[in-house]
Amino acid sequence: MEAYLTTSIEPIEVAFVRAGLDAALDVAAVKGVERGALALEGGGLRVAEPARADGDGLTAAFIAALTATPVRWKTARANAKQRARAASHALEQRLVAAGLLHETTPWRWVTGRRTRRGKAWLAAAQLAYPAAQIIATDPALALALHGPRALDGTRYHAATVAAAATSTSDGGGCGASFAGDGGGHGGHGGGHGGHGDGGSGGHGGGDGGSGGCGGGGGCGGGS
Amino acid sequence: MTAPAVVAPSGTPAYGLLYRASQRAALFGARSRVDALEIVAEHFLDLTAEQRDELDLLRAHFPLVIHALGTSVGSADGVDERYLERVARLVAYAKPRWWSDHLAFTRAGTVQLGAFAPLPRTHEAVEVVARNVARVRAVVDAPFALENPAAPFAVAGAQYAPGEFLAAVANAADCGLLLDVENLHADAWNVATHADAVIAAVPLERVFEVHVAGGHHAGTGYADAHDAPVPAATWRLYAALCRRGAPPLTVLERESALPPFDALLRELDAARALANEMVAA
Repeated sequence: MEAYLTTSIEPIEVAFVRAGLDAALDVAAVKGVERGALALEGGGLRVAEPARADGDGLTAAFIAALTATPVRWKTARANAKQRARAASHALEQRLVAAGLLHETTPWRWVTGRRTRRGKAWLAAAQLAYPAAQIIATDPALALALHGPRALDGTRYHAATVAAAATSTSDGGGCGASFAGDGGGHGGHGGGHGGHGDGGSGGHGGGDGGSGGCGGGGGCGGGS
Repeated sequence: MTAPAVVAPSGTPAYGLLYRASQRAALFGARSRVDALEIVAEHFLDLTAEQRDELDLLRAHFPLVIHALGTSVGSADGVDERYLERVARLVAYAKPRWWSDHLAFTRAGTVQLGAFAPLPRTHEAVEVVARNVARVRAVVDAPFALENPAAPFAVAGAQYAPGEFLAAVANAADCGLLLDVENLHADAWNVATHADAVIAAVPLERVFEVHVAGGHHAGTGYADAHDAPVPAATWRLYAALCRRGAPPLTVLERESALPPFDALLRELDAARALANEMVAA
């Protein structure tokens, strides 16, 4: 195995390589909450102290998309996504340049574009940073590397359960609302209609939450 | 036999930790402060797929040395060939800079003692160990070093002083030494070993590695439990050794009651600083 972990691990980049833009946005939201730029309140997200954001483009998109009134996590993410095109493109180009992703293929789920190096890098990082060992100190990295189930039992769990309860998902738990994204993306790759955050997303959640790893399933389909 | 370089071909001294899977994330988060890892052979002897992945990850990111517990180089009836073959497979896979075990016997016939029984410091013991180490070196393709274990009691009839015994064994077996200065500290307390004399007597060119660790007092004795910060007495012995020359690798060997990882890093930094200071002095 090559020494892949020669530089620090940036959670947003990890999430993008693992499961695409929605996953990266989820990680940006968690990072924003952890730093105090965003607040998790009543199962939703709102702006708290924008100056505390670390300056990455995806968090900036959340700040631009949110107000002081909380909105559901999934809605917040969808709104942020509309404002994150430039940041997402820049992030993607960085990862392509680093050899972690292939060049974009239209309508192909991003994780289906992981290079061999990207897969090995991700595998090394997942092994080096077990979820149970980092969840308390770095929930954003835990989410980025291991998917939504890593957040079970944390303060993010309640928000995502609430999101799942109001969705069409028949899944439960934290994984449901996130896994929906994986399902939706998988839909892109597998040609199931390309649902994003909608119905097929809920179906992904039903898997349980294989959660973010629902995202992993989507990856297989999309490859 | 002189120590292979751990990190740099120039032989720059390295400072490492005993690997604990429960602290893997913290270890990787602080990779720049840990030069090398020591892994316990028994944790990886029968490589499962998961253990293979773990070992792949570790060896890709750190120089490794392997520390074994069951070679029983002091057994008069020879070494356990099946055990050696398992170690040989692990060594072939992990490609450590060297591997080590204890200068003791852990097996008598078919009885596993579950402890490192001290050897009598006699000519006969030197011959037994040399014969066994020859077999070890024939089977396991990596340099080999012997560690001084802590002695819970003194064995009568010694023909060598402790330091001379270590030197005689290493010379006769043509192997390296792993000097555990905490074990010397324990021996000084428990069996009145003159630890400074041991440090003065060991052939420095054969010292591949040093262990620093901490234990605790138990009743009237001292337990080399490796469950506490390195005590001042052990640091003093380490400094005495480093005055002769910094060893190629110093490993902080914390085995239980693990503190926050930062505390281990601070102790490792202390070892590095102390060695540099002694060498410069």
